[in-house]
Amino acid sequence: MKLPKSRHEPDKVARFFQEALEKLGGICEWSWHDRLHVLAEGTAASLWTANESVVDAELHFPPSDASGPRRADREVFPGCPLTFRVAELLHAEEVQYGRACLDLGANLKPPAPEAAQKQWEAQIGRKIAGKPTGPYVQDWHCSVLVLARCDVQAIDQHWSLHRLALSLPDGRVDEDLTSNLSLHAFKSPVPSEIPWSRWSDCGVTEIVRQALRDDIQTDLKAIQARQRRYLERELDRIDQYFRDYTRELRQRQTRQRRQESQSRYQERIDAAKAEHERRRQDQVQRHEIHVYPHIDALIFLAEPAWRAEIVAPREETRRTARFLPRNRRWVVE
Amino acid sequence: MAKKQPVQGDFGFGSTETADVGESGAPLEVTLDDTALQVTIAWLSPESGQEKRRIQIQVIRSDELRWYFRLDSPGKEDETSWHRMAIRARMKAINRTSPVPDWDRVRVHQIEWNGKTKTKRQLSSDELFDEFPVLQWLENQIVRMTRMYTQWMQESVLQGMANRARQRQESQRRSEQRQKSGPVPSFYRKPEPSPKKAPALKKTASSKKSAKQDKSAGSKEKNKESGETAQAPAEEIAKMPVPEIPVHVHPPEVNPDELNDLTTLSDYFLLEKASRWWVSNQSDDLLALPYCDVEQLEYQVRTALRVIGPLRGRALLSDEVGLGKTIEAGLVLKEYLTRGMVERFLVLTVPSLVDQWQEELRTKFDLSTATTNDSGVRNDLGQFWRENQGIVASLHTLKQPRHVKIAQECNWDLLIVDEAHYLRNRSSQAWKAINSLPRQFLLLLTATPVQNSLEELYNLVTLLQPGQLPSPQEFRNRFIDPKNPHQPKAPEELRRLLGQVMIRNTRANAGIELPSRRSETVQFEPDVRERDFWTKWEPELRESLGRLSSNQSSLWGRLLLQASGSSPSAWEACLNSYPEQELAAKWKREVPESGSWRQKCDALPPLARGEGGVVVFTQFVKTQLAISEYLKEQNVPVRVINGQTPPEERQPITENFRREGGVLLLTRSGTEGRNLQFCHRLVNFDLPWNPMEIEQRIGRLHRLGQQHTVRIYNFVTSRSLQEQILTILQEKLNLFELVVGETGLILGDRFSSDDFADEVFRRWQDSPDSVDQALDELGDELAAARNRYFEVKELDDTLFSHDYEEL
Repeated sequence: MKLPKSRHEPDKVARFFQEALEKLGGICEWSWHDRLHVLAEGTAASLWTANESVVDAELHFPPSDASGPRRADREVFPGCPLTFRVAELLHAEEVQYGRACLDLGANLKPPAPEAAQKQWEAQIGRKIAGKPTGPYVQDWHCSVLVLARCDVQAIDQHWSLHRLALSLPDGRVDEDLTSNLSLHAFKSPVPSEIPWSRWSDCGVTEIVRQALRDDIQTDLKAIQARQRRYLERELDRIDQYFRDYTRELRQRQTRQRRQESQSRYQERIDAAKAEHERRRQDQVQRHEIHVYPHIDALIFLAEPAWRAEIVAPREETRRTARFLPRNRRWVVE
Repeated sequence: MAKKQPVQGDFGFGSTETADVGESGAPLEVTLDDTALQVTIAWLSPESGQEKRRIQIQVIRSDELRWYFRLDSPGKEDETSWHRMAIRARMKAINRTSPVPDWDRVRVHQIEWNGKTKTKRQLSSDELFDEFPVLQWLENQIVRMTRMYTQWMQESVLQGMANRARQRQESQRRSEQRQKSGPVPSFYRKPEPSPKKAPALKKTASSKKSAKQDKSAGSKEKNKESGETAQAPAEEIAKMPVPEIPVHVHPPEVNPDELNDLTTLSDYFLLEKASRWWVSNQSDDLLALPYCDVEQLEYQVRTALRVIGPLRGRALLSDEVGLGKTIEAGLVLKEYLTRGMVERFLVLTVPSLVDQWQEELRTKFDLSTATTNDSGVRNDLGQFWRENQGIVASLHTLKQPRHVKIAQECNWDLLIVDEAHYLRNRSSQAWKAINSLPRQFLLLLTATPVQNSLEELYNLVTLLQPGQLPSPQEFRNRFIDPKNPHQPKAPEELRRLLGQVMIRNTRANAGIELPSRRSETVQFEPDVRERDFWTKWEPELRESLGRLSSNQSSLWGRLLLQASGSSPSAWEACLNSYPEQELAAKWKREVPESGSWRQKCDALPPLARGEGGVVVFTQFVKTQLAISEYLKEQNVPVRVINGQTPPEERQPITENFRREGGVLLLTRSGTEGRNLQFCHRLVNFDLPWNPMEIEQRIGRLHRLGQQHTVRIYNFVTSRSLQEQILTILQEKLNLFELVVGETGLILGDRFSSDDFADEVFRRWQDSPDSVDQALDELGDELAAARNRYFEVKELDDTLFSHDYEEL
């Protein structure tokens, strides 16, 4: 899910600064409705100084349309360096990797077999041979929550922010967790019986990469179309140049009497073809689009599930599937 | 009861035949054929509905109308000029014998071209201009046909010029190709042979060539090679495909060595906020846009983003006239200020636009600036240049040594140069002054980047990006043909280079379509006494002005002549301060009551009743108030805005007019900033002698959002100085057909806003016995300037027809 950008509203960004600086160890106090007095030491002070000594500063959050001169070290305005810096300090400080367990309540009961079968038929149908058979055994399911900033580099640069919850091991996007993350509660402490090691070799990197690629498709289409226009213009120019050049070489070749001269011209023509191809390739490469995801957070989210065996009688195969009580869905291994 | 009237001698035919059309006017059927430029008027029998008489008036050539008369016998023909008086005289004569009825017995059809076929339809009563009597309306329709003819002729001329330019270009391209490829082989000159015969013909041709060039010809290898050579051009013509753009999504760096147990995601959500602010702080969109009071047009926003992004703040904005270069520059300025990338900025423009720029920056972008028109400037130049954050200055002022010396010592973050075509000569003081100012970002604004030669473009681009184009000599060698300095030798390459510094939006690619506008001259005839007075008054005025100093003479002369064409009260108010009070008193005593003034006012109520009301412009507050009083007596809803109207009341007054219609009376100061595109009727109650002021008036209605054809009514007294000026502006300058903004470009160097009025007055004063001729000569100058402008426009269109904004 692509997270929309926030409009620069001074009070909102001010609240963020207060929360962030306090998290980083600073002490904040409002000296006016748009001025935040900060006493910072250590990491928080590195917003202003490199040596992390104590800093006593007042941040000003002027209206976005203010047109007076800006003080980049004391004012927070659209595009200002301070916003970048405080965000980056948090990225470095905060835990990027973690694991948590969803709290679905105590006394979780297995699903009724008929209800589970119906859900299986509605969700899976005939895509997989077989049906779930009981008994339902308590087990665990894991999803990975990813927060990633995607840097799309084309003729110009675009940044976007994505939040995705991906079911393991299949990598399917869990819409409920992705969209309604803030509505869920988590167990405290994290149960020790969760088999985290089961998911450590799931190929999370590739799953995340594919999921992000799918999530930025809409943005990519427009960027690709634009790139194509640029590329077409450049290729036309190169093609025209080499067409004319090759034609001239051929004309000259036909005017040569000696075999040796004609051969030399042929070499030049072949070299021109090769150069033409190289230049085209070069332009195509220049117009490639590169997407660099930067992971800001990656959290494994475990939740209780009910395991069942899927038996396909004719094929004599057995598979395992898990029923998730959270969203009443099946996940097949 | 029918009344037979002889028509002998009325049309020079000597005919005694009559047309029985009735005393009170038989029903009338009028057909306006726009495709044939013909007006047909047919009188019908009230009983049977059959035609009793028909007259066809057709435009056949410049300044010639043909009148076809059909009486009871086969038709006769006659010709007159286009002059309105001639048409009027002929219509009056016709009306004497065949009276035209009132509107309730008139039916009008219009024949139009819908792109494929002609269509004929009857006009509804809403579409008819029944504000005028039928006879006057018929006269106006005939004049309209003559105007259409003029417009068609001009378009044909321009089309011809464009075709010739394209032919020259094509010819040049072929010539260049021939030079590159050598002599054209003989087989290219023959028509393409049939496929079966092709190999033989080619073989024959190449054999002939081989026989000439190689004495040992005859080997298969040579023939084969020649065959290949002959085939090569055909292979290379096919366009090579454009490959798909590869997209590489790189794998993220994921390396969770240790996973921390989390009992809550509050830290995660804080991190998410941080990432969100980080991404939002990037510059994909204009951050300042919500804080600008402008219509957010997509092409303008895109232009601003392109200037800030890929062009990195140095650009030549050369949009077509009327597309809002000022707005685009303002958006860039505001964006840079919002992002803290600019602190000090300087806007340079022509003297007449300094105040307008200041006003636009203030109202649309909430930016306060100091200007070189401010009173304190002369007292302390240093303080003015060094201490003001934003300055709007006249280019002419800046290039003065005492100003430029101080300005060079300041660091300017952003320079905006309006009307940048004044910088086309790099040996000019203006160019050198701009070049010497330290600046980080630079915007050059002009609708006509090339006026005489491509080298002008070089001078502009060098200001923006020194080194973008090669050295002057190399530029000349590569791009300029000495025999044809208007056409580049390598247009594609030039466009590629320019695309990195220049943006040009056109109406076509900006999607701006405005409805047309039509102007009509409404003449008012003074009575004999009035005419005699004014005829006597002008020489007396001339003599009186001769006794004043030249400045006073010009000032009073222009004022009184314009006021006399406005209203009696404006004229008398001006006379109250006239230096020669005895003479002024005498004039005031002798002036008769103005019948033409009353006629002019009487023409307004019918227009006011139309949908959307009517906007009436006048130069004089006295005239405005007099009209207002008159209309109130006629119970016509009227609203007034002038310089004395408090600013906070102006918009509500405009809104009331918009809701309720009627008449909105505006003076020049009341016009400023008013957007009136909800109304489509405009009356120039008097005519300012500044064509750009007239254009500004029109631009209040004829702008984005206008849904209807804008009708412009120019009120003039017949055979007056105002009528002569109007004729020049209409016929020589085509003022009412130009796009808003083009007038200034046409008048440009020769006439600033006041210079034109001064010139009119000078000719009036210096040529007492031949004012007509003197003004005609002025008209010829305007026509030449207009043609010159269209040539430049055609050149710029040819050069810059590629879209530089293909994002």
